[in-house]
Amino acid sequence: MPLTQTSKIAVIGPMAQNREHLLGSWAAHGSPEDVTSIYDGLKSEFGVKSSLSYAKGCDFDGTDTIGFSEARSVAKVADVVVICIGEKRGWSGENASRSTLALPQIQEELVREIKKLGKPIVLLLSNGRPLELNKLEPICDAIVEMWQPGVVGGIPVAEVISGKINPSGKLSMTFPYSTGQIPIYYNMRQSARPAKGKYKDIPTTALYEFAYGLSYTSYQYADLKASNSSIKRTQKLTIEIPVTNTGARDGDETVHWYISDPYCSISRPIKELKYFEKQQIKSGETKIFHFELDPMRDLSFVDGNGTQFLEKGDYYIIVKDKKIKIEVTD
Amino acid sequence: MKKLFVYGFCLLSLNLNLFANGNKNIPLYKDAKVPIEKRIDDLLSRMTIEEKVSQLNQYTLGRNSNINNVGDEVKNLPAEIGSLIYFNADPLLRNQVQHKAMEESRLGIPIIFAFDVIHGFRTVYQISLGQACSWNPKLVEQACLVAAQESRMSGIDWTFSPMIDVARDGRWGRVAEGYGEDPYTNAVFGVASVKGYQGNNMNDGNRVAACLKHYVGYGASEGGRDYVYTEISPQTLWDTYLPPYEACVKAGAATLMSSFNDISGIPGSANQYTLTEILKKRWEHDGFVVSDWGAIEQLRSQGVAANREEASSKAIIAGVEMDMMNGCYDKYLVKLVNEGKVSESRLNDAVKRVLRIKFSLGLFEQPFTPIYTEKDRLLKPESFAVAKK
Repeated sequence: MPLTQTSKIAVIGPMAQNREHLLGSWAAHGSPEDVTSIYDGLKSEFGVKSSLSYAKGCDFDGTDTIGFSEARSVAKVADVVVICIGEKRGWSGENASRSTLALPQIQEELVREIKKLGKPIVLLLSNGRPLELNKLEPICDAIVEMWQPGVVGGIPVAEVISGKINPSGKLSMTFPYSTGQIPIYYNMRQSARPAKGKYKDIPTTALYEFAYGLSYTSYQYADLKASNSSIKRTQKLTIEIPVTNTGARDGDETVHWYISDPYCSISRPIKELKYFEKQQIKSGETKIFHFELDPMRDLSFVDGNGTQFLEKGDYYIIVKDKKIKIEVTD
Repeated sequence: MKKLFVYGFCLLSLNLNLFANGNKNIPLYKDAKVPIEKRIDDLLSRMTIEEKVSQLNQYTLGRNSNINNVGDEVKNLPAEIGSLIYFNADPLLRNQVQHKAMEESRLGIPIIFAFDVIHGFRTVYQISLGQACSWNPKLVEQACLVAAQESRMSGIDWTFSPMIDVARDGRWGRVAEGYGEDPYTNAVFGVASVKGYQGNNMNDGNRVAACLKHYVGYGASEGGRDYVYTEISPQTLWDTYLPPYEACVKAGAATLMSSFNDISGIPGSANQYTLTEILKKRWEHDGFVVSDWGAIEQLRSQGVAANREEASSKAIIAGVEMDMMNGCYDKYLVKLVNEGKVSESRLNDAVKRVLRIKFSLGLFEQPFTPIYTEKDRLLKPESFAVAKK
């Protein structure tokens, strides 16, 4: 990814030509006729430079594998296979719970069938919830999460795949390694034995954490710098971090600012998001991101009556793997 | 010539006098120049208990395509009805029913028309869970403005959105409708959404009233099963589930929807602590709360009301102002007030809240939706461009 030099692309999967499911669960007066399918989006994006072929492969669920052979023969002659799978629109929304975040077996089987051919696989997912991807992630070369995009359907995602758009999305919800990890979220409270208590059979960490997301460029985060290391409760503070685009593409980067309070009269989450900002950073350029910290707003906690407290002591301000200590005094 | 001139002058004065007299005869609540709170008080003072209770009910109108809420179109709608969920994509039927309300009801109180416009009306854009992945609240605000414009021009005054339920269990299907697992993220995008829907003035023809949902804790549904019990400690209520609501109430959200879930023993739609103590007293919210579809009568299945009458009493006392498709308030509230089981002051407070939003939307001045062609109101190229971003 991106697919810039690809002459033959096989587009496979039950979502590829579907328009209805791209609308999502509460489509109001949206109509499938208004939607551009993934296949049509790819066709208009790659039309001239690459040839596209299509096979449905299988349905969203069920056990019918009759379409696998067509999918195999289409994939066999392609340079890259884009597999379009995911959830029907009715699988999320109201009264639409599922016991597992994994896709139905038939869809996973389709990917495994194509994998046997040894072709590079781009897995394109349209769904209304985080998915369990531990079986698919190891056999795919790239995964694109498009969610349910509405009427624009396959247009923007085709531009992501072609490289016209440099993706900048980051997850708003954790993708667990498996459904059995639920509940799992970034701001859990602290464990009594952080190094222990792990699952014996699966990893204990998520497959994709909150705020995870790749781009076609790379960013380097320098160290955090605070305007003051010790502040009074009513005193504001500016923290900054320079971020450099070290890759060849211009991009948009979101910086997430977290705080942590390692010691407090109640046990607080490991970290808490307090601010985020997205900025465009051109290739080779450095942008400075700022966080104006207001101790009462950003460092305090509430108790079970809704009363807000700000305690004296040390706090950490965290961005990615960087952190800086701030002391709050009277 | 002179005579004619004088005569003309006299006629002119006479007309002016007539106009002034006419103005004096317009009831205060119909005078757009009078401050809203005075108009509300004036209107309330003219209303009977029956008329007040009618304001607190919501039925449906038009095509119902939601398989969870299948119900026959409500026939023979009373002209005094407070609100309707409107399923049509153009304002024609709305305007017909609104004419009935304005002309056949004694006081001519406009109906507020609502719909589930969650991620777009006709220009459907990405689901909220995906929108949050943009980390671009300005863009979400623009998208909600597009939804508001298409909705208002198509006869919708009020959307049941945004959902700002912190959700940490992907098995629950409604994770699609919210902004994910983090309280702050839900707060930021919720506020952006409220601004997009309501703007600075809900009365400008392109905006709708927002509805924060589902108040509160619905995302904590056990095992990801929908409609079920939630175990939420006071600590978690305050540090995880309430912050997005507090932020959006402070941003001016007009309404909230009371949730289906049982919050540690007290259902969201019978919860005086969350609905009245927190929302109305501490946060001073002056709009209203609508029940989720059937959430009042479901207090029976949740085991806190013996019958629909008790369910009505619990919900109104707890702080639910509008009954969405329960058939409870319309049947029992007059009786409950007459018997003194529900105080008249609570009834008045509820009605004032509903009227406040109707006045703020400008419905008294502009009860009917102007007719535009489909091309002028839906799927405009600039709207599509916002969805594409």
